[in-house]
Amino acid sequence: MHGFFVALGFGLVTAAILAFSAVAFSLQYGVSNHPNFAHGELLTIGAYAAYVSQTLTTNLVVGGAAAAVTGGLVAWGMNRGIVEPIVRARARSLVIFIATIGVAIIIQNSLLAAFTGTNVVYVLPQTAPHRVGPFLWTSRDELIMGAAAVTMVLLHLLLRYTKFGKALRAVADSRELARVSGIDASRVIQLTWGLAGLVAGLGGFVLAGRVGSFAPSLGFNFLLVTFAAAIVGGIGKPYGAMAGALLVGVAMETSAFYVAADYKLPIAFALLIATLLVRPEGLFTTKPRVGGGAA
Amino acid sequence: MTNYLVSIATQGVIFAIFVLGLNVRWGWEGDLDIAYYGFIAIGAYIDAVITLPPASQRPPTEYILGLQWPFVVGALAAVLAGAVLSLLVGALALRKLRGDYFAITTLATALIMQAVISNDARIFAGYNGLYGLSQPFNSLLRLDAHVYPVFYLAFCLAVLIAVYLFLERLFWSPFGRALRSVREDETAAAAFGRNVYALKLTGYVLGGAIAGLGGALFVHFLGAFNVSAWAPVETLLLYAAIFVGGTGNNRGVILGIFLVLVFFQEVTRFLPEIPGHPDFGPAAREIMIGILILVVLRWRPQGILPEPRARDRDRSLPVGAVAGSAVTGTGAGG
Repeated sequence: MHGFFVALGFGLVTAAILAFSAVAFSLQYGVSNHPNFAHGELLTIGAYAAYVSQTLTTNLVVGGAAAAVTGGLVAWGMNRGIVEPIVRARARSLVIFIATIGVAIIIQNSLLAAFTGTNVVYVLPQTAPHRVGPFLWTSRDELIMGAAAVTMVLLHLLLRYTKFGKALRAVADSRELARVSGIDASRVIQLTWGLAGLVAGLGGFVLAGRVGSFAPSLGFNFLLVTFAAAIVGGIGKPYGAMAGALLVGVAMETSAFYVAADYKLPIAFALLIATLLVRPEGLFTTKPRVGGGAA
Repeated sequence: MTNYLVSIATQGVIFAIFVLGLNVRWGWEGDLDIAYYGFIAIGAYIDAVITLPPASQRPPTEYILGLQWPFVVGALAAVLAGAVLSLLVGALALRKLRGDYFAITTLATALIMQAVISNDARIFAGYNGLYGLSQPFNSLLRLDAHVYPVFYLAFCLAVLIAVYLFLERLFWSPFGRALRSVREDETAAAAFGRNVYALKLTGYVLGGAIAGLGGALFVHFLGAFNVSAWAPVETLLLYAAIFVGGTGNNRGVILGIFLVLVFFQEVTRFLPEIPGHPDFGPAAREIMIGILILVVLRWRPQGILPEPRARDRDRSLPVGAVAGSAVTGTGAGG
């Protein structure tokens, strides 16, 4: 049983990282109605931004801020420069999806051209593992989980109590109705891309800090796990995505206790496929999402 | 030089077969399959383990079967494998999922396949991969090393022409028109009495069978095959070819794949070599694929040769009598 709790502890850390990525993906998909295949690259960009900032200062806050700002700017620019023009040309939804695949390839390989495929090192300082209840965590694990909790609370406050948050939820529910009630929907969509990039960049920062060394494929390898968490939670539902992250993260790490660790990712994907087939609106919803992304 | 040209041409012909199969899925049926390369891989693997000698003769690699049967049997099995895998994936995924969700499911399927084949080295020799494949028909022909590649090019070209002619007939057949009508408007097609699920599944299986056939030709061309040969990203090159050539148009996508391959062949020759940075060339190539896709999607989404519109087959009939033309008439694909 001891080993199981250690695995569960790992799972909670994975879930914390996944929460950043899944909430960001879910927000952007829910509001703009197109999944962003280049979402993984936003994490990668955040990770490299933190890595580059390391040459100036090893301050953690600076690293996190660099990751968040770079992720936010790139996501905002991606939407303005590439996605919006294709949407305006009234392309099919899938064509926009393919365009974001193109963007993903371009970003990933630009990083490959700039930083080579050799792993770079980015390590968050940490103490030796110590017991917390039944779990075994390092100070780095606690930092990651703490950062995730704070970010999720801030997002909750933003969505719940600010004018922008209200507008964002309105556009996600129905773009037409939001427009009719005087909300500048395209502005809300642009800001949401930026916000999603910000959170994803932070996710890349903590992911890099946890794995310690990474290459330009870092975020892409995390993409389907993100899809899994966001879809299990129900697209466009930030709280669902948090719950989905918890479920997928814990399922992946505790399964490694029972089957070979190489099958961690397939288990996440199997959860994804099962959810899509049985309950495509997500596990944590009572009614299907209006204006669905499944169309 | 001739050897080089023959090799490039053979690769182009085999890729043209790949792209024709993908065009059935994406161009006609309208389902975005990011995992198409997985079906090529399964064809390649199945053909390989059927034509290779038993694994016990070549330790330390392990793989299933090892029957040393002739190429024709291997290729047929590859077609069957591509079709059966498509049937399994399609039967599950096409029943309910559309659009983005379908695409994500195909990607997850491919990654699961890749994880299983990489980790369980007993099926297809894992990361080491299979190697030492035979030259099809050469045990009978006994051609020498300079002549054989020319023969293989001619053989692949014959297969390409056969697949092309078959698909060209199918394009104008009731099935082809019904499939494209489903792409344009599922609800309307269903209202005209089409079984949307059955049509899509048939198209999907057909695409997978062509992928399996292409995989069989490809594995004998390469002579070896392993997990790194079919990253999901490779599918993107095929999509680039489809967009450039013209989504839905058989002739267009063949033109597209040759243009894309020649383009990259020529452009990569002018790339600078950076010492100590072996990833630079491949990275630059991938970046150009990405840019090419974005440029075409943005400025010429229908491609060079757009999909032909439904034509009146019998001009003697009054215009209104061409049944269902509102449904079968297709807009610019993509």
